[in-house]
Amino acid sequence: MDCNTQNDKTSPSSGASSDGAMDEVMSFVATGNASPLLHEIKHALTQLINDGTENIIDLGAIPFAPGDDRILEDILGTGEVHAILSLQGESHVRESSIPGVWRVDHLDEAGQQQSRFIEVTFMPDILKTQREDAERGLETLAERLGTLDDNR
Amino acid sequence: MANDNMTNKPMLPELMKTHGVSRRTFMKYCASLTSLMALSPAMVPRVAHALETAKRPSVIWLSFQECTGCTESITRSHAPTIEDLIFNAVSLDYHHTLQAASGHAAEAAREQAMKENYGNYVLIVDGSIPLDNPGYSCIAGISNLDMLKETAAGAAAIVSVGTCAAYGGIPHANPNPTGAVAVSEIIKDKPIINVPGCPPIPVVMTGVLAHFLTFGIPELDELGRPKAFYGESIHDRCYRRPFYDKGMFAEGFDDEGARGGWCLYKLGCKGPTTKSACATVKWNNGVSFPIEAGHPCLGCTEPDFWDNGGFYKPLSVPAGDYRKLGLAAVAGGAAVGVASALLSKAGKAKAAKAHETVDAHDLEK
Repeated sequence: MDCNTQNDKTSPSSGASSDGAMDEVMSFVATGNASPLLHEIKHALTQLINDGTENIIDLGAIPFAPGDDRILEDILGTGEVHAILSLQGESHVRESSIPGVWRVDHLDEAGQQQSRFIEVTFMPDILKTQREDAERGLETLAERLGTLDDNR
Repeated sequence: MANDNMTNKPMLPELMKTHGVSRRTFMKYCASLTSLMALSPAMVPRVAHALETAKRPSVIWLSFQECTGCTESITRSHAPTIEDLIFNAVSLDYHHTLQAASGHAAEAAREQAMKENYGNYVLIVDGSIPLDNPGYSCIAGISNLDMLKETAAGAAAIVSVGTCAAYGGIPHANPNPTGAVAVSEIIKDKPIINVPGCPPIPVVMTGVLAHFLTFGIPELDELGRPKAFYGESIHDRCYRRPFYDKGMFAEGFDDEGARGGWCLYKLGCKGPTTKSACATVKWNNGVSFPIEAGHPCLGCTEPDFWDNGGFYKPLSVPAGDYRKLGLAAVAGGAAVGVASALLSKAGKAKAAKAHETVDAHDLEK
């Protein structure tokens, strides 16, 4: 799923009209919040480069209209990485065309949005193998090797 | 259901392992929960740590004058979600709709849980409490009022789930035949968290519970609701808000505006005066919410929503008090033997006269 598809789900006209003209009109309805958010991202990226400080911005905490999403997408663009994680519903982790600026969208099992973030980081935490999972993995591997040895 | 001496043991890590839930999935849940609780994303590690180390509290759930919709709502989240795990991570020691035991055996479970966890258990209440006649609603021969007072005495905190427990709800609606009141009108010496809604959104109920387990009593608004979930109006977060701002309103349920997904304000939408997370969290696992389905918001998280001038009338500000006018008409009719219908009619005319219709521009003032 790409970002445009996700935006379609949350656009005002999606539940009530299939009229493409309406979608077009709505894509220009904006709250004006995209511009200050993009400046916040710029500051966060400067901080990341200067001292390695990572920042996460919760997009659910900011009133956004479809027009704001369109501006955000237009400015940030699509980068080189798009990872899809299966975590009781998909999570999409996408690097924008501004390296270091990532979009993280969490969906539930029905494909509906749970939460969405902008992460300004060299690598989003959720992409890394978590220590607890690695420990559990070690137990699983040992168990499977035991079974293999028993069957010999 | 039974108290199994595990009340003080953190359960979540074990449950995650048993259910094969990865740490990544847990971190995803924590990120979404933190967003839902309106906390900074920087709090995600603290939320995760708090959830992992949270003690397993005893929970007693009392259902009084209610329709069981709140219980239906909280049990309708599809399994296995981590919300379920968190809910499983409390020791639900009494819930007469869900537990197998009934009658005196059920009451014995409640008494045992109270005795073993006195001063520490969480009391969840759904439904209002009738004050006119104890016989209107009893459980195992115990009136709702007595059971609430007795159980609240040993509770660490009370969560009033649903509009009936929080504000009296539909039983409290005019003419309130049972004298129904909210929990907060009876219990004055315990912290009370109101989680209104008819019913409340499942994830809001589990979210409030998660907040209580992790950080204690959440910050509440003037109506006792957690600000994280009830801090903003549905209108503020509504995806139809741009239409409102442009003055584009549906005038009927099948006109051009309705088909185009325009604002439902003129069809009686109470979104501007209703604080709830419906527009962001949504229902049925995030599928939709009433306004997205084309119906105006009824305002069910607000006190007296049932008496607030009609679901399909454009929002108006009552200048008088409907309830007092209605009760005065009934009392007057009984006292002087005049037909109450006549007085009700007069009361209705007064109420109609006392209402001042506002338009979209007035709301912005």
